[in-house]
Formats: sequence, structure tokens, C-alpha cells
Amino acid sequence: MNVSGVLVHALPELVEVVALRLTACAGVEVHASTQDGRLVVTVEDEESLMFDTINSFHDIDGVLSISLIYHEFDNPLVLEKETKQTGGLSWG
Amino acid sequence: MGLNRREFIKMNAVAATAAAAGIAIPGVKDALAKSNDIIRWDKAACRYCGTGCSVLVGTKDGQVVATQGDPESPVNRGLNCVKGYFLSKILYGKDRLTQPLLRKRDGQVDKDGAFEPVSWDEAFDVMAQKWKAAIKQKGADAVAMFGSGQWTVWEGYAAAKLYKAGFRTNNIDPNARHCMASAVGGFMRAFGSDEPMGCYDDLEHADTFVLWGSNMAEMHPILWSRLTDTRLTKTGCQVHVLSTFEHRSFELADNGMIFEPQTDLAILNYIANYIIENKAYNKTFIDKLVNFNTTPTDIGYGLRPEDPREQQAKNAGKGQLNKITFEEYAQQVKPYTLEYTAKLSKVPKERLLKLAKQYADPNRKVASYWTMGFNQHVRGVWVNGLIYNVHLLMGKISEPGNSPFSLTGQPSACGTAREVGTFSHRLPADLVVTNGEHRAFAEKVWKLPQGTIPSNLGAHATLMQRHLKDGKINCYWQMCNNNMQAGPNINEEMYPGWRDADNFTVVSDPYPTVSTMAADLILPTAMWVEKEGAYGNAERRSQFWRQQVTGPGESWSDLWQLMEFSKRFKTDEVWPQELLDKNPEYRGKTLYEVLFRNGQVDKFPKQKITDERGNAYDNDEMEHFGFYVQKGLYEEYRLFGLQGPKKGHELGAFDQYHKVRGMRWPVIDGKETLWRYREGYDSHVGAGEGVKFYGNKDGRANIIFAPYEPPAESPDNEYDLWMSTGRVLEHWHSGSMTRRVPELYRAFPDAVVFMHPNDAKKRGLRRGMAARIISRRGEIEALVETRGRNRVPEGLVFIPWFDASRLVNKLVLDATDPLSKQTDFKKTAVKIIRA
Repeated sequence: MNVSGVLVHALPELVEVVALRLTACAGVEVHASTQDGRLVVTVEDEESLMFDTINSFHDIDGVLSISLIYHEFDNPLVLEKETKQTGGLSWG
Repeated sequence: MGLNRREFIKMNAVAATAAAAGIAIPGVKDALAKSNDIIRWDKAACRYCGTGCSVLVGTKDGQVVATQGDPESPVNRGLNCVKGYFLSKILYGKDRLTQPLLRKRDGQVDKDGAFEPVSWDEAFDVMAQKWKAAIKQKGADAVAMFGSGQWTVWEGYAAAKLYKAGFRTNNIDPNARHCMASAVGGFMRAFGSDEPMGCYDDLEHADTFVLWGSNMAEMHPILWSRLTDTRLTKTGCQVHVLSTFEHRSFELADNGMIFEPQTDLAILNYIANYIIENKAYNKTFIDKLVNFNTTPTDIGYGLRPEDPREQQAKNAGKGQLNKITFEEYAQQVKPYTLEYTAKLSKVPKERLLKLAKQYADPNRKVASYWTMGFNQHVRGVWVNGLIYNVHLLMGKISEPGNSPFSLTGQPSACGTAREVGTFSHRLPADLVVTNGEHRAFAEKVWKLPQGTIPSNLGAHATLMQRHLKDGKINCYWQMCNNNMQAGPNINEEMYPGWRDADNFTVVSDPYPTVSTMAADLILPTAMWVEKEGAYGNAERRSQFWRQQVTGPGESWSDLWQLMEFSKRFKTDEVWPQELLDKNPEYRGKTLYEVLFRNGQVDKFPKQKITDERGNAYDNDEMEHFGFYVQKGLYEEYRLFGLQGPKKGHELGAFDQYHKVRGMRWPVIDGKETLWRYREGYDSHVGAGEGVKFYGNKDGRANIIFAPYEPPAESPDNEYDLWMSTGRVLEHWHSGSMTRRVPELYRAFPDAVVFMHPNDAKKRGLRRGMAARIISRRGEIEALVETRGRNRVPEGLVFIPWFDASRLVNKLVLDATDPLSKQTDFKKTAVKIIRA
């Protein structure tokens, strides 16, 4: 399980629309917003999709910037795929 | 009010994010206070780049479970970049190394054997036996160490001491040689003192920002966010970006400039010429504070002496400065006219002019930033000097907003590699091994006999690999870096030496890497917050952290490994008879006793480690050795700054750093220094002195003319493209940590070759197709990328080097700046064909 706290800056006149669009994404909640365009957002996931979700915020009209603030995880996820970190050299 | 686990975690995330946004959300604090689910929070410096962000590390049940940007940090002010955001996951890759592994066959050490788990005792026994045999047969220079700008301060200090004073060889060099050596050379030649005069506060004070060979948007994202803030909020603020290809930093550029590789030398001389021809220079400043100099030209490329390019060079490796007059200097920059420079660099005239005007306008504050584009350069020391020339001509230096600033790529390239003196020519606090007075001072601090530290230069990074291949070095210990992926010309100059039957190579790392696979012995390392540490960032800020968790399995920190290994040697085994005859009290002692039980390093007894909130922390090294190792090493090291022959390197007391978010040296009476060399900011400059470059005896800085000279290798008919290597936002250096973070791996899994669509088309390639990239030294395969974040011009390709399955440095020539010995990773001639 991954939980993230993300601060989203939006155009002030679009803050409500942005909040709605954010809430429509899976695992996303908006906890607070301000008139000058700041939104306190959490993102949860189970399958390491969080980064994709957060990245997709950039595609929402009116989003100016995204700041990654907080990250917590249980049972650290491990890569299923070999990361090929050994340059093709094998043990032995 | 009861919270379940998930609600509780979410509440933490909301609280931290709301705090960063400056929003109060009622009820959140109360709910968290009532919960029993307690996370212990403490600060630590980030493990990655030289920015030096502070993160809060959340620990529960002996595991790091959460991180957040540190809102109290003056560097990052609560923000994270994407790498820093997932920082704690680097501890928990599934293939962490947990025990020493030795190549053996039939129970015997065997270079061609397979890795087998062994005890630390067996590992160190085998190592010590190899080290002693090599030293006995060929002398101390047959052993070597390749260290790191990621070492903590005390690890680098202990390693330098063990090699220079213990084994008595200067064959120790850090991987910072690959990234910072040219910057060091530039600082020493111009100012007689290493590291920037300014600090990150310049990011809020400058009117114009100029990036020279730095993609700050991807490589130093937190500094970029501060720069962006200033650009967007300050009227008239401008951003100028120079590079050999278009990257993300160009998105904010008011003046983006793509130049032909190596012509930055000409552009900087053009700006100097423009300033002089328009009489814009600050005459009062240069009369009082500047010396003009030339440096020998045609200096070769740091290749093996038998290479024709070295044979033809008139002044190979030479760098002695000669004083000239201002008028002579003006004559030398005169050929660098706008017409000539525009033609050579391929940058349009109006853009060059716009850039020159920013520097020449006395009313604009200019901050220049550079990274690997300047430093990984066969004329790296020259080009570092040329930017100082421009700032010094205008007197735009050492004050808020006027700042030539060398950015760093590693978390402690400054704090450890440079300040501690882990280079093959250096001792702590800017001292050098070739200076008798400096050696004598170091021996006095270390309580060692006169003549212990050898006076000959050790082997630098590239030379060390050549010596291994040539059999001059037989024992090699690499720690806290992945040189088999990071170093140049892997196939020809590195791998053969490592696998030579006469050589024994040891690699300490938390994870299997290309380097560990090529070694004979692998030692498992406890990393980052698995030990107490200190890093020094690019703005001279030293930051400390406490040990948060314990490393997995039998892993131990680099510091423990170095000190434990020193117990295996007696002075009688590694010091010459003559030295011991003169100083019989050192006979029969181990290097551990002589170096680390000298009444100074072991001065501070074991104690409980607690923070101001009453939390308790482990310190595994203190527990093992029986004294406060980190504090003892640090306080001994600090004597170099407090009592040494070079002033201006004073550090604060050990305990103070644990309480603050770092301090920028020189630290005098507990106070940090933001701008060096200027009265009112730097207490080494007295009342009425104004500015004083006190690193040089006469208090003046050096303007050093250096011309444009071509690189070691340029495209020709066969190898018809420039290739530059570099980095991407998601990965840090060789990727040994970031590629194990699932989110980062998925975001940028494999290196690609960024190509111009026309270049691709000419070779029958399209986006997404596989291509072979071939140089005179090797080849790799990668998929073609013609779009995306990097837009390269025709004639140049860019390949990131994080990907271990595509060792792009196989292709790179081991040419260095002949003065700094730093490799040029930016200018390789390659050809590309369909795979």
C-alpha cells in the first residue's frame, strides 16, 4: 500500500473544476482547497500505479504545478521484473 | 476516535501536505495525537544529488515507512523532487547484499570461481593477505582505493587517513574526479580556495540567470523551482540557457542557445571581449583585486603518453600561470568577435549579443550556474576559469545575486571528496601532498611521525585503471560507487585490469552492480540512514543525520569496513624500517591503533544518542568500537580548518550540526557564512577591506586567458555524430538505487538514444526502432527517441548512462582535461546504424 500527500496548485478561477476532475481519478481524494488555488490531495494505490496517477494531474486543465510532499508505504513493493542492474554479467 | 491503519496513514499525508500549503485543516492534529500508531520523525540529508535537500524520515518498528520534504529546511522548504519523494524505498530493494561474497572454486580463492558467501573474517583475511603481498613485492603504490562523493564526511576522512598515513600511498581518488575535478581546478587557480563564494540565496537575488552546460530542470529540480519562482515573480528577470542540445530547462528560457560542442570556450572569450570593447568593465575592482594571467596552450588530452595526440602536444599537461597586463589580456580576447564566435559556435549573433549585454550591464545582477557541461570537458579547468574572468571583469561576484556558481552532482562531492581531501593530490582543508609544510601539518594533527605521508602524487581515477591494466596496481578497493559503469572506455581500459589474474579487486556496495559482478570480493554495505552521517552540499552547507535503522543481514557501513580492515595491519608490515627506527614507539602497533586509537579519534566515550524530543537512536559503529567514532573523527578533522595553514575552512562543533538544518562554512563563533570574501558577510574580511580574495596571498583573484582548442575527438566521415552522455530526472547516476524503486523504474525503464528525426531518417530509422551506436571503442544497442524531453540538433545524439544493460561509457574515450584529470563524457564521435 502506498499513500501520498500531494499539493496541487491550480488557476484560482478553476479550482473547483480541478477538484472535481481530481476526485474522479481512482484513489484520489481532495481534503481542502483555497481560493488562491491550493489543493490538499491524497493518492492511494495498491499496485504501484500512484506515480502514473500523479503524473496524469499535469493533463488536467488549470493545474499549474504539483508538489510531492508526503509518502508512506507498507510492505515495500518490489520489482517483479529483473532490473538488469548487473550489465549482463552473471554470478560466477 | 479510532482510526484504522489506512485512515491513519492518510491523515499523516493530509497533515503534512496541509502544513506545506499553509492551510489549517481542523481535527487532523487531534486525531493524530490520539492515535497509538506512532512514527518517529527525524531529519536527514537526501542520498542523491549535490543540492542537499533535507527530508524527514519516518521510522516505525525498525523500518523506514515514510518520508516527507523537510519544511524547516532552508534548501528545499518542504519540497521533494520525484527521486527524493520515493527516497526511503532505496533501502528495500529485494536484492540487497547481506553477506560478503568471494569468488572461490573447490574451497579456494579463485579469480575464475563463482561468488560464495563468506564471513567478514575470511573476507578481510583474504584481502589483507593480498594487500600485504602486493606492498611487500612492489611497495605501497601497488594498492589503491577508489572512493566517493557519496561517502559521509567521516568515511572519506577515515579512508584518506588509512591510505595516505596508514598504507603510505596517495593512491586514493574519489568518483568526484569524474564530476568535480575541473571545478576544483578552476577555483584553486582563480581564488586559491575551493568551492563557491555564493550560496543558494542568490536564486532569489539575481536579475539574470545563465545556465552553462546545466540542465537544472531535471538534475537539480528543487533549485530549479526556486529559480522558476524568481523568474515568474520578479519584473524583468531573464533566464539564459546554453547547451549542445535543447532540454527541459529551455522551457523557461528567454534566450536559449544551442552551441557546437567545445565552443563554450569561444563564447566566454567573446563576452570578455565585448565587455572590454564597450569599456563596461569595473576598473576600480580589477585594479585592486585582479591579476591577469596566461596559461600554456596545446596541452594535450590526458591520454596515455604514447597516444599520437599527446606526442604532438607542445605543452602536454602544463598549467603554470604567467602574469600579463590588462592590455595584453585585452589583445588575447580580441579575436573573439561576434562574427567569429557566431560562426564557430553556430549560435545566432543576436542571441550571443543579448547574453553578453546581461553580463556587461552594471545594473543587472547575474548568477551563472554550471555542472557537467563545463566540468566533463577536455578544457574543463580553462572553461571554469573563463566564467570567472567574465564575473571578475565586472566585479559581479561575492554578493547577493552576483554569483558564478558551480553546482555538484553528488551529495557530498564538496563535503567529503573535496573538503576532506580524498583526491590523490590532496589532504584535508585544501592542503596538498606535494607541499612539505602541508604534510608536516597533517602529520602533526594525526600524531604521526614526520615523513609518514608520501610526497608523490597518487594515481587519479583514469590513471588508476591504466595502472591496474598495466600491473602497477594489484589491489583495488572500490567503495560507495559503481565505476565499472561510470568510468570511461570500459572495455579497453577498465575491465581487463579488473579481471587480470595478478590483480585482486574488492567492491563495497548495498546492491549488485556491474562493478560488483566484475570484482573478486563483494562487501555488503549499510547505507544512508543505516548509519550516522554527514554530507556537505554545493553551497558549503554541512548537514548531519542520526542512524535511523540498522542495515540488513551482515551489512556494515563503509566506516566500519575501513576501520575493521585497519586492524589487520601492523606498522612493521607496511611501514619502512627507516621510519620505524626513527620512531620506535610506533613499532608493533596495528594501523587501527595508530590511526584511530590515538587519544583523539577515540576521545569521546560511548553515549546514548537522543534528540531534543527524547527519541533514542542506535549507533552501530559506536556500539562495536566502544567509542563515539563519528564524533572523534569529525573533531579531529575539524582541526585542519581551525589550525591549518589555509584560513577560511572553519567548521562548527559536532553537536551543533545535529541541532540545525546545516551550516555553511566558514563557521565562525557558531555562525555560518553566506557570501565569502566580502566585508559584512565574511568575518575573514576586515573593516574597510571591502573585498579580499584571501585564498591567494596577495588577496587578488586571477583572470586567466585561455583560447578555444578543439576536443580530443570530433566527428569525421565514418564516425559522423557527436555523442553526449548525461542524466534524466528519474534516475540518479548509475541507477543502482533508483532503478530499484518501482515507480522510478517504470517512469524511465531503459536508456534511449535521443536523435534528430532527420538523422534517424537518413539511417533508415524511426522513433522506437532499435539502433546500434558504435564508437572506435565499442558499441551498444538502444531504441531511437526523436521526440520527448530532449530535442537534439542534427549531428548530435544524447544517451543517458543510468542503464546497466547499455553501458554507454564503453563508447567514451578516456580523454581527460590534462590539468584536472577529469574525463570528457560529452564529446564522443559515434556512428549509428539499424540494429
